[in-house]
Amino acid sequence: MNIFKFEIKRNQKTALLWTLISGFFVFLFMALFPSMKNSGIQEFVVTKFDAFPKEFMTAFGVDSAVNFDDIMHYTAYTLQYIIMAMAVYGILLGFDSLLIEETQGTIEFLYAQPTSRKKIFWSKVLSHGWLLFQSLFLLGMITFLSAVVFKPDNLAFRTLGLDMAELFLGSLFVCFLYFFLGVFIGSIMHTKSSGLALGIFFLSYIVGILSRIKEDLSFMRYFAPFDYALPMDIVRQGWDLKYIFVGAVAMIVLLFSSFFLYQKKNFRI
Amino acid sequence: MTIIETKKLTTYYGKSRGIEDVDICVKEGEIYGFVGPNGAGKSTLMRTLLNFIRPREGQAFIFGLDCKKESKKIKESLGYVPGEIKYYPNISVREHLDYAASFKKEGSKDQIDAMMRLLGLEGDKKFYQLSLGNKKKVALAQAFLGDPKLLILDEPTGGLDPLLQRIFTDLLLDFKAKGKTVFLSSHNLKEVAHLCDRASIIKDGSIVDSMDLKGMENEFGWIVSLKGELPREALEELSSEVYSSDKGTSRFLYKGKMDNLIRCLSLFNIEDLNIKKEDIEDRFLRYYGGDNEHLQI
Repeated sequence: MNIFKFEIKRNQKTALLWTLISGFFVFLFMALFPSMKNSGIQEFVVTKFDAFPKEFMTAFGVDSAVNFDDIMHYTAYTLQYIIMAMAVYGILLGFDSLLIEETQGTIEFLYAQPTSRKKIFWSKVLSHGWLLFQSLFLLGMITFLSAVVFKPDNLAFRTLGLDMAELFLGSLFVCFLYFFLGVFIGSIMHTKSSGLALGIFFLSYIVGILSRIKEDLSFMRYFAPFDYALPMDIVRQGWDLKYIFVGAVAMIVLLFSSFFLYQKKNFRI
Repeated sequence: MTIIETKKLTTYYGKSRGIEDVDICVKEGEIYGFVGPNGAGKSTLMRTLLNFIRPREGQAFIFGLDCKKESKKIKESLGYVPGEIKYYPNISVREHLDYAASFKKEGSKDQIDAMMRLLGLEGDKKFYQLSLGNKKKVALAQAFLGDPKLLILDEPTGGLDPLLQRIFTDLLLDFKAKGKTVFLSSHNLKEVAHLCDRASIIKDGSIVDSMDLKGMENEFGWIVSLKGELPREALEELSSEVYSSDKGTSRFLYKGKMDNLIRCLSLFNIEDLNIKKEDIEDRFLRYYGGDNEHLQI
């Protein structure tokens, strides 16, 4: 438990910073909802967005079927960019969980103590996973409370709460998938590279766009974790269990292969 | 009792050589030195013993336990000071020591306070604010926590001022007086000669010599450097080993009674004479020849 607590304490500030910045943007966007709703934005969207090629709109996760008068559609559209930032945060956290001590050389302090690699691995993964969960939970609460403030009067509190919970479970799923991908890469690399983490995320994001644009390339969606539970898809169609299953299996495989690789790893200090 | 034992221990970093066929045996209650210049493999051996690196071949045991399989149990009775101290920059000295103590069964608040007082450490200072000397002190303090039976120290006095070196030496000698064991690496030969009971010399990843430093005092000869007319026959008779002899200057190793040497030299016309007791430095330099720019003598 000592490693877990130490890691939480050491990384708490950064986690809160990510959450607060993301939460600030969510609140800002949600604050715009009443004026969007009242200024006839939906007519604008239908008229103008239809003029764009369908592929272009799909690539940006928006089309004329997005109803900006509906607070859940509006939230989902807004959140896809915020969740993108959180997914990047997830992969970076995963990377850091095992790699930062080796990169900074502090592993020479930690692993000289009477502890096992097994304990280090689980403490690190759990503590960093907790930070990610905490950030997403807080972000979810900020989004929910913002939606409560700016929701239309006729929308039931309970319905809004359930829809939001579903949306954030999807986001949690996607972010944790990137987190475990980060953990896995961290278990085989020796030096932290934020560029690599970002590269992996954006590559998978582009693969997701391609899979959405071209019917022939739809199979590529399996290589695009961000598309497994897109906020807009969850709001409109609910969960796609096929991707949830693949994602869950991928998380388990990534976690346990990272565990075994970390036990055999040579630390380069 | 054997505290550290390695058998044909071989470690590689990918294709690069780390250490090769290293056999050492460190006994309880001794200070054992591991000597060699930078890059010779000293840190690699220590990191292999601590299971940071997996050996490609051979075996290593500490307290009779396998370093690979029972690393955690070994570290319950071991303190380690790395060569380059890279601890958590934004964590305070006190938090470092508390964290280290949290892993150890016998690491107590009183012990932390005592170590901080002894080494003059300020608990509130963040690690990044510390000088190199103070960073070493934190590393030493955490290594002494939990009443270890063995200390593994990688270049422990590198970068320390003479006063700190003295404190450190006293700590080690006190530790040894309690029947505990120290395994240290160094390229400071004076330190090794002063502190260690035994030492091994490592070159290019392999051990090239091992010596009993305390028992060797009588084995060491005298290094004689002179300028003058010393006939070849006399030089051959006096010297155990001739290092150089050219144009009226000679440098050789003499093993024997000093009065015999003086008496013999007084028979010739000697312009300049320098006699120095042979020590570990001279032995060491034999192996390294001109490749000694990293050594502190």
